[in-house]
Amino acid sequence: MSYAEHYGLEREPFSNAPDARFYFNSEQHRQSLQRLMYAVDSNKGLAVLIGGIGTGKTTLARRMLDCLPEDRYESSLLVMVHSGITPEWILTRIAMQFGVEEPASDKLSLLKQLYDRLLQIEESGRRAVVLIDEAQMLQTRDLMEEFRGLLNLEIPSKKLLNIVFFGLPEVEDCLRLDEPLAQRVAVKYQLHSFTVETTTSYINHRLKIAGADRNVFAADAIPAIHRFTGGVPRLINTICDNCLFEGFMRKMEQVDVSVVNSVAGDFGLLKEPLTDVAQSENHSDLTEIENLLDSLEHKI
Amino acid sequence: MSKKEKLLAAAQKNLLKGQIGKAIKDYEKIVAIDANDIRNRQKLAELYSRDKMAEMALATYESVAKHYEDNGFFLKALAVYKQMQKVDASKPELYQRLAEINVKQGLVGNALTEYHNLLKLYRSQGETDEALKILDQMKELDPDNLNISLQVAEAYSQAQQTEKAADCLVEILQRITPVADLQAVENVQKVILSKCPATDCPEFNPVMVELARAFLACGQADRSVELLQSVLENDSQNTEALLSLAKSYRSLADHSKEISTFGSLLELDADNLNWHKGYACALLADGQTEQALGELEKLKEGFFAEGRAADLKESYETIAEQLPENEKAVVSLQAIYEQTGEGGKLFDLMSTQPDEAPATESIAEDETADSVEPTSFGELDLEDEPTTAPDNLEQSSSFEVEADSPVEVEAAQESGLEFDELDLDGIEFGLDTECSDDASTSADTLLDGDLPESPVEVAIDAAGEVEEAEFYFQQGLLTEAAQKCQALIDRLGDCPQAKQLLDRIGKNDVTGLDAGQDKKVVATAPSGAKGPLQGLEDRERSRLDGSLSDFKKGLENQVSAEDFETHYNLGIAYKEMGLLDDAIEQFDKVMADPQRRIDCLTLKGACLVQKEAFEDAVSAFKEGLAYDALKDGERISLYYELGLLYMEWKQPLEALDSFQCVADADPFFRNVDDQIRQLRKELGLDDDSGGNPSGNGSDKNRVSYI
Repeated sequence: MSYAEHYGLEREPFSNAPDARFYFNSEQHRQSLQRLMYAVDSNKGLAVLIGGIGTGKTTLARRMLDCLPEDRYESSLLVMVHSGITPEWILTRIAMQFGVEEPASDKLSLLKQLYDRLLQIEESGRRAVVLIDEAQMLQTRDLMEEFRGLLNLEIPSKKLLNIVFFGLPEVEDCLRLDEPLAQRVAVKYQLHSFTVETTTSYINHRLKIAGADRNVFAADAIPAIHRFTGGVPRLINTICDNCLFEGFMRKMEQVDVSVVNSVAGDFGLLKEPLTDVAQSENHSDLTEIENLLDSLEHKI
Repeated sequence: MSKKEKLLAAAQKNLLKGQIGKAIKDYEKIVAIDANDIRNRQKLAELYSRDKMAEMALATYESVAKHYEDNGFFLKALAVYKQMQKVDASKPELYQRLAEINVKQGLVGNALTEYHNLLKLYRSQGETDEALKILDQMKELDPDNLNISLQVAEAYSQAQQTEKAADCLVEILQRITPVADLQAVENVQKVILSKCPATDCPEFNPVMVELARAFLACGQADRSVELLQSVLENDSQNTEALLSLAKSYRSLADHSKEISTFGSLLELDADNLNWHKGYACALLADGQTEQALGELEKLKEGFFAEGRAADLKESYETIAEQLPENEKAVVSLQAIYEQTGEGGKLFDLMSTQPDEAPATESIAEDETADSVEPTSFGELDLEDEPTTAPDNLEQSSSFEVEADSPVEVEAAQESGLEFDELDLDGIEFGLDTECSDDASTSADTLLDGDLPESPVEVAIDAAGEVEEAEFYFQQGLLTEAAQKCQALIDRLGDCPQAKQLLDRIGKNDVTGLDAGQDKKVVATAPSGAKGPLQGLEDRERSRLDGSLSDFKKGLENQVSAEDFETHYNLGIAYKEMGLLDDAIEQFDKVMADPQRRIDCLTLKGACLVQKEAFEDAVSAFKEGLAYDALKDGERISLYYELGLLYMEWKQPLEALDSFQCVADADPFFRNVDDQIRQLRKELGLDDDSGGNPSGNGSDKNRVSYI
């Protein structure tokens, strides 16, 4: 018997794998999506969404892609997985995503191909949008200049391409590598970690989507989860997942604060709850979360 | 290259060289060539500004701003006026204009900021009158802002316009009294004492009385007394102060002082019915029941004549409880019940009297009761011969015969009963069809002359009380319904209808309740009705409508505007009867009661949805959502209703949004999860496989990794 069965759930509620069914439309996610969609719809060119580790940037990027129907947008999401990428490479990939079938090897021809394709998209009444996830990996001035060049592709009074960067706060450093590009950021929004109320809603939301017909977490367990995770969604998922497993092992119908403390102890979170860290210093908060996530991933 | 282009190029060059004067000349020529070139005109204004030519800059900017305004580009106009403010921040007209445009754009916050800055400007310039005007405009813009209203009062006070300051403070206090916010009241008191030095002026007496009322509403009766006494020291005949003082003493349970305060009021106006009633109530509260009865007996006629018998009901009920043998009290109470149409209670009272005849005769002979507009129930009593078994039988039938079939209606009419009255009683008490079937059978039996051996009034009581219990049950007042049934069973030993109802209450049988309600709505729907009414002749139906209208008019006359609870219950009853406009009217009346405001908005919204007036329904729900004192539970409930409305209105996206708001707060609320799942599926937002991270079937081609 799995722990999901034990709690009467149809599926595991706290998997960290992206799954649209579990999308939690928190107020800040709603707000940020509205702003980003506005940026795209009004052809603002460049929009940026930043947020700490595990705050839901990738989820939001996927969500935004969902919100860009193909009859109105030619859109694609590029996920950066390493930082050693060249301007030519990214240009080629963007061209391919927009449907340039045989991208030229020289940059000028490639740009011409891309421009023609963007014109076609524009003439078909659609907007071209490229979303870049993990944009903090774009760490060279050359790359930033390349994006500035892309933003310059326009017809009179109209931009042909909209770009949205999703990434860690370091994205701002990347943008500053090319000051004119930094100045072109038309819309910027930052995701923060959840408050205890939002954490409660988030946990309940996931449980409900997983088929729960009751509250599996006792009322006092959730503030404790928030304290140990600092309201970081990905950490919340990990801790809740472990709590459910622990509760299942103990044959408990409901996860209480003792289970949360026990799990937090296993992960070394008892000494220094993250909410306290968050209050003391923002920067060390990020490092702390990053280290914790690393250690969690190793344990898992 | 055209001349304009050449001039533009020259201006660019001059600007690059830092020769602003020359660039200005170039732009002046450009604007002269093309007067409609707003962009370059704006550029020219900027250059004037840079070159410290403030007047020129302002004049040019103004022409640009006017152009934008005239063409509906209000945001651009706002931006230009903002630039003008930077050039010269001492021009009040700029703040005023900015505020006005912001108001036009619905940007109330920005408008208030502009007004606020303008206020500061006027104050720094010593322009008190102008500052006052601005404050008035700010108040008009944000009437709920207590701080602004207080500033207005303060400004009037400083401008020696004491009366206006007092009016303003009274208005503020009247707004905060219903919410009983002690801190707000204390803040207002602080402002009054520190910023309005003329508190001892007679013009300020209404303020002090209002302040006392506010304290009383917050449970601070002693502070209220203190304030009122200080008012009365200077103005001993201030009736408002005396009245509030009496209420404060009542709150402090100091009834002897309450009596003497009402005594003072009656010295000022011996004919005031309300004060007499207050005096009697104070006597009653002080344990002087006989004296209280004496007072009430004196003023009873006056209340009856004004159709306000209901106002005396509670006092007489208390007296009847304390002096059960007192005939006067019983007779008056019967007359009151008669006027208020509370048949059940009247029968109760009559049946508990050892000798019914005299009491009922007095009712029949009571000319005062005859003189006022009769209710449906009153008509029944007054038109029929007095008392005893045969009449009681008819009255019993009036409660028990439902228009289930024309035969029954005809039978009722043949037996000398007015159909209108019969059916209206059915409506008023919301008879359960099942129950009425049994009851009508027994009524038929009685009418046929097959009288049971048991005393007649017992049979009447049973039917009436089951009916009343059924009414409580349908209104969701389960405890009251259960108590009524239990009392009946205790009294009669066996009462199948009461037992049956008690079982339903025990199970909290929602399905049964709904079904009952549905039946009732069908049975009483005013037009286009199906089912039992279908068989009625048009003539009968129009008589029914007329009677219904009389019935409502009668009720309106009897229920005071402040009796929110009764209006609320009426609203619910009308809603269940399908009389949606009447229900909405009742709910509108109750809106003034902060305790019931949200319930009323919700129910009003539900009525509007039933009427398919979706936009109005959305407004009602959104008004509820915007209510400051909204509780979390109420918010969730309103969002859920809004979601249902949008679904009904075929607006799935809005419905999803509303349900999502519910789920964010409480994912276990009703079936919100199912609603969301269904809507997402309908909108194509979900992929049931769950394997695709983005949930969009075509995303595989849209996502790539670099």
